Amino acid sequence: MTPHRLTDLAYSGRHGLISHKGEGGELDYFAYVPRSISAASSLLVTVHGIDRKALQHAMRFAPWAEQRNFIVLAPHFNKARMPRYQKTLPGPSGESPLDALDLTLDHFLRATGIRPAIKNLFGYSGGAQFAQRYVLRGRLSWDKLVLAAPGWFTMPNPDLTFPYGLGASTAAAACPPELDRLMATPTLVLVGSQDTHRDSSLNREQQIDAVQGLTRLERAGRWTEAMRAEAARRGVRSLIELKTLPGAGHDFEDNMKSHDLGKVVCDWLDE
Amino acid sequence: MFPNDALAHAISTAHRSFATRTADLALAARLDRSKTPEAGDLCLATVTKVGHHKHIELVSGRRAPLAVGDTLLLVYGNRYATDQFEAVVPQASGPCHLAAAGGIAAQVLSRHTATRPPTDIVPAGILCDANGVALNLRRWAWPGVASSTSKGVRQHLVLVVGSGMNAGKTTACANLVRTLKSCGLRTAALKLTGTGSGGDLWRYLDAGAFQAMDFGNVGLASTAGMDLRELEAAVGRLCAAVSPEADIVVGELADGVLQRETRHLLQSASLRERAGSLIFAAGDPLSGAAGVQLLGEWGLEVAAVSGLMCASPLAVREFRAFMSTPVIFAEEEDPHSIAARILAPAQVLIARRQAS
Repeated sequence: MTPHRLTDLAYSGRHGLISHKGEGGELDYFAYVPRSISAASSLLVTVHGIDRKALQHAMRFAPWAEQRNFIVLAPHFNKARMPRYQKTLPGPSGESPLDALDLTLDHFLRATGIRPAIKNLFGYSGGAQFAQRYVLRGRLSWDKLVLAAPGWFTMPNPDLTFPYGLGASTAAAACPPELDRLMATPTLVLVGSQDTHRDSSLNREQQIDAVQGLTRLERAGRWTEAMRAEAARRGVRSLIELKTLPGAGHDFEDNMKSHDLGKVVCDWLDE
Repeated sequence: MFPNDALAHAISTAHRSFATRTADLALAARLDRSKTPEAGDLCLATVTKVGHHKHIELVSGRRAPLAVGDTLLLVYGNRYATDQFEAVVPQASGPCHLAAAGGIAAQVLSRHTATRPPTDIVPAGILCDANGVALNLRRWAWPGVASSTSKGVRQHLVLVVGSGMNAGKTTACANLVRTLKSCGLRTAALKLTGTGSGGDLWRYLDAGAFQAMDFGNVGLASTAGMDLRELEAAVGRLCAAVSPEADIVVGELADGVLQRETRHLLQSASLRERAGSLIFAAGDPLSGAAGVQLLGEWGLEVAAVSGLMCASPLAVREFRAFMSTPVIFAEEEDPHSIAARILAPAQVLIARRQAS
């Protein structure tokens, strides 16, 4: 029987929902290709939070993909395989989430034949943590980065060990964080004005509370300020922008549906 | 003819069956004994002998026990059920049978040897409006103005077919609904063909379906024996009736893939164009292998096999020894892994469509 492999296919103007069951180093992934796909279509890679709802990410960005002509790729970091993907730390078998994303993107692009001129990275909550740390440590560069509602950040501070800061750590020895890469990437930090609950999904370590603040809203502000201060210290223009979503809490679904998360992201990416 | 107050009393005291759920009974003004029944016509009938069906499913879903002398509000329709009855709309409004517990009045032609004779009923007549026009479910069919898109995004249809009756199609649908809900999606579930009954719709809803509908929502009591073009159109209308708020659709075709209507729909351009991926529910390993093979010959790639076969680890092992098609719901698996398996072949289907 013919196995169901996306690699069997060459992209020829098809559109809609695509999925792939990872069989090698790549992750399971979901993608949405808009009707109006063209050589000018950009790619948005969207990374889920610790609820790991990758398919939901693909579906919620799909209407925006149709409207703004971009391709959505939503990788799924399986909990058993990648339990610490947010920190970009290896899984039990030593697999790196950074490499896994590279392989996933490579698989998708080879399988579909799509060659996007622009690649943007979006992460929500735990996915935003991953996205920030990918840009610090990963191989690929991104045209724009959106960090939406991360629980905490890697601070631009070499005195704190990774992932708290940029200091040397055995966990990140193979590819240490490079702040220059992040500072050179236009970045939008998004957080809900009501994302202020210290719930069980929020990292409440004393060190993070003390350095970054008590809530996601406060932490987004402090990290942005720290990054801007670092840019000023270096004498370069800060490429980081902070926006709050009025009335928004921490629920991705609710924020996409009721608080313009999709619109704000797409407007900023289109600027 | 019944006086109106007597008719109103008869209707209000009758067991109203699930299959009549869409009808507006306030329009009932007469009871006509002389009309020739048509599929979808509503009738009042009295139970004269309780047979295979000892209960009737009410609009609420409650299964009411039947007794001789009970009055039932039913709908005429055909039945095709290999494990139960073959039945057709009778050519006259005389005594016939309760052919399905959902409320189908029909003349039984044959039955499975393990099935008892059907429950006998005597229709009192067909319900008509004040103008003498029969009340037929077509009158309350969903008008069909929406389209199967949500905010410009076409809703992916996961089509579930099987090797036959009781092969586990509805269980597979319910599992798919539950899986997709776990992935954060709002799933609409459709029973695209079959015989009017609430059982499958309740299963879909209990699994977490955002919306559950069947052919009754487009004015049909059952789909067996229908004109095939009309059936295609009805399936299209049902798909189009899905709420734009739903993210994805799971659709079930009744009976086995060799059954007349199921076979036709699977080979129809309209459903092939609409379906995004295909799941095959198999009763056993051999039917699973044969089903995948047959559908392949029809140009349809099966994304995954499920069904009753999955209840047996040995049966699953037999299947896997010969077939590379993934098996789902046989073991615990991450919902996203299942979703990744079942949605992928959408592209295979589209590629084949474009190649043909």
